[in-house]
Amino acid sequence: MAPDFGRHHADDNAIDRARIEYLAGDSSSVGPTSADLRAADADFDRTELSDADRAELDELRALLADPTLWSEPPAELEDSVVALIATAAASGGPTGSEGEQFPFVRSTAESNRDETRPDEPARSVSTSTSAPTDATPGQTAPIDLGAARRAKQERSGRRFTRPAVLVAAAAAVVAVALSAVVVVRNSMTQPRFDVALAATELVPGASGNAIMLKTDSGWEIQLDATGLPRLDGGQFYQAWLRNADGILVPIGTFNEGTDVILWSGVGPADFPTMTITRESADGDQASSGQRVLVGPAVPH
Amino acid sequence: MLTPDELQRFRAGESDAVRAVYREYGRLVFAVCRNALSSPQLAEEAAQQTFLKAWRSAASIEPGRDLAPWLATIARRTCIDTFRQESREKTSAIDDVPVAHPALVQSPVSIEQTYDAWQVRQALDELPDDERQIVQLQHLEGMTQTAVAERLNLPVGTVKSRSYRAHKKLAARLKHLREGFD
Repeated sequence: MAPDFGRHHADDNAIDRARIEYLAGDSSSVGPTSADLRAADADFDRTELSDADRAELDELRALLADPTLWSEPPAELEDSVVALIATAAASGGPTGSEGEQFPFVRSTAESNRDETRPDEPARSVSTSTSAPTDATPGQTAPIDLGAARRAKQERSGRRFTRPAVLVAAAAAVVAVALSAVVVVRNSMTQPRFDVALAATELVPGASGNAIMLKTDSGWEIQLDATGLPRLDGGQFYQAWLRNADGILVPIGTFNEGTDVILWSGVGPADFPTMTITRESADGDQASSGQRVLVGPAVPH
Repeated sequence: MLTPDELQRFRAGESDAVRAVYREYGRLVFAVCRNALSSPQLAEEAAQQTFLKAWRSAASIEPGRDLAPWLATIARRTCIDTFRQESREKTSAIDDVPVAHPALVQSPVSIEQTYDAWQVRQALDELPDDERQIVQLQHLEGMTQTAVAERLNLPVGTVKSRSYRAHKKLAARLKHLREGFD
């Protein structure tokens, strides 16, 4: 039976029409349809096409049937991209070079691979409390997410520089040194992830960072956010970790974003995206969807 | 395409400009990464890295030029990096490796594969919604035109007309791709 495409065929020559009809042909071999339906739709004429034509069109049909080409990005990906770039921009801008303030450098392998391409790839976002100049060939340079926290700690420390305090401090040197050894040893073995949090359109001026430390009790998360107005009176912020399937695990609630400690029973390797939402004490345990901060957790 | 002002703000990492770029190209980049890497999580990571690298190289972007081919190149390289990283990350006895592990089920990312994926996704995104829906039901879900008509509660003739129009556009848009098949 000849296809009935009406006036849409008027301007197409026969071979083009046959190609289009073949491309649009019945894909019922994988579908849930009945034999009758298949027969009803098998109404295009393939006789004009060569074997080569059909082979080409079959490849195109295979591509059109590839589920990955129909996939949609997860809703949170946009916020994660914005967060990543905002963090990198805050660390020095896009035009830096190796050894400067720029947050990422190319690995040795990448540098050797192709010098003519337009992009300057970095394998992964690495966050660290190390200075950017610590980067060595073959490694990615870190984003200094802990800089603000360290600066804050250093400012606090400078309050204790009077002589009387110095005497007390000197008496404690040995104890501090001993505990420092323990701390350093722990920090060298304790798994850690860092999170750079960027604002969504709900609170555009907000930002934050978090350090995730593995402990025997679970993941301790030290969150520091700025630009978030205090919520109270039944309103609060809630932090979540999300996996690639969109499953959210609540990790705590708070009113202000300064020096917040959260705990999680799931790890950032499996739940790599942190989000902060605005919530109400309305009995609904699900996320409100009102994300104010979002960021990816990356290994330290 | 970015205006000079949008480009300037993108280079500065301004959130609204980054969002504008993502909304224009995010679906394409993710589809390419998903096609190349199969794992949704790895694809998500690669898509993030693609945009980060694009931002890093924003100084080389010319205002008014389509970013799609350039982003496709970055996405492909990022997927290759991700694939290599995943492939060499661990050494395990074969019996201990999950059957879905990328090293077992994936081939290395090829230029052709990425290019085809990019072109097809772009062509699909350019279709009107009503035509794309029919193409999706026909090819992705394997439905006949009659079944599509039943699903969408449309006359079969309407489905056939839209299907023909859509496939005519796809055939023209992807002609260069078809001719490149071995």
